[in-house]
Amino acid sequence: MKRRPLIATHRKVFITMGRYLCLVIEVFDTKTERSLMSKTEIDTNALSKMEKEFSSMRIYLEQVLTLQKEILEKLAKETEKRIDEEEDGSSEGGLSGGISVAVLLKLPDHLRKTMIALSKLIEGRADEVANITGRARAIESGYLNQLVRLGYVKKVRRKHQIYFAVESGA
Amino acid sequence: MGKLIALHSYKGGTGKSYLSVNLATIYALQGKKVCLLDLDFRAPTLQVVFEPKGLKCFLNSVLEGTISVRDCLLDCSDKLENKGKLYVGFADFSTEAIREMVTKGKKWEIEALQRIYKMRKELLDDMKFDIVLVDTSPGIQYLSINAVVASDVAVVVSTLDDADIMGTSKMLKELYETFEKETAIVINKAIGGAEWADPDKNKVVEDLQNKYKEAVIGILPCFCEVGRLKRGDLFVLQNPKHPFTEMLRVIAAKLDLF
Repeated sequence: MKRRPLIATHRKVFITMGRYLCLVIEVFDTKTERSLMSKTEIDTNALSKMEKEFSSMRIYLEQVLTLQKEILEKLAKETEKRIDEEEDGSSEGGLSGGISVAVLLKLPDHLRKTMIALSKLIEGRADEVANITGRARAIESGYLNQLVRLGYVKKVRRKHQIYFAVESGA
Repeated sequence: MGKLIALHSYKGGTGKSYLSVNLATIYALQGKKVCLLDLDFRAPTLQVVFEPKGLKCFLNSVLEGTISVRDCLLDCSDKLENKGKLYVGFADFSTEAIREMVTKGKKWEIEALQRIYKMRKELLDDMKFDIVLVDTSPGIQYLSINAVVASDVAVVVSTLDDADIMGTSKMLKELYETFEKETAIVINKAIGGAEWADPDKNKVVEDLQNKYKEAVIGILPCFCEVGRLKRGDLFVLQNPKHPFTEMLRVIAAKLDLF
């Protein structure tokens, strides 16, 4: 974002406007006959100065407009990108919950193995997952609980047994 | 418990669809209950082989979550002269459907993995298929990776083209190894392969084994008669004693061991 150039240009506009106002006061003072310069001299000098300040103000204001347009365009593009990402589910938020290749790739190796095994079962106990992975039930139980904490798996209690299930999509 | 086998490749035109159809035929002729799924939504092929009539339901809808896979399978056993049980799930081959699949967002593809897992469970646990063969799109795409991830064994089909070998090696290293997938490699369309003396063949297999660090379970030579036959005429059914059929039988047996 071109915030700094925009602020600098705004400052220039204000300085020019200040100078312009000083000139107006000068002309006003002339009218009240407090100026030491002759009326004709003041009129010519003041008007040429005012014209100069006006043209610089115009240039600066045009610069401000261009910069603001650029900022607006960039903002619009950013917003569009965010909306697309949310619709596609490619943003970080879209990946939480539910299993996907992206989620699997993000997981460390030991949890990925557990997650793939559980996905095959859709819903299962730690010992069933252990049967697929070939690791001990207690280890799988620990890994499944880690996946629960990460939000990829949910726990379901049935009578005295605990089942784990893959969280449905975000 | 049945097995889901996904056929994948790095490049297109390696013969995945041809191999999947013929492998499915071999398994069905062995008396197994076989299901063949066309998950190559961008270039569906199985409709050319099985010529389904009045098909209203496609695998696209299964992955959309609107219907169950059971509802869109077609019994194509008559194509095998009823010598085996073969069910086929087709991808929608209309231009609109292909265009729609190309424009699907990532979110849809993410949800598709969960649906592929559900489909797998339904086919293997409920419908008791012995073998489910999945034909996928080539390259590294979400949908193909989904099928590979959900499979028990992934068969990577490659040709002897340098670009294919290089890409396949990279894909195996960066993708298959990450998912610790049971992987088998089949080299297809090996030019001059039929005339090879065994020591030569062994050297090629050895080189490829070293390169891929995975099991090369077969090298299929480039047979002109294979290319000459129409897709609709299942080669292994028409030519049961042909070397190509024999080699495919060996590949099928090796896949059984995984």
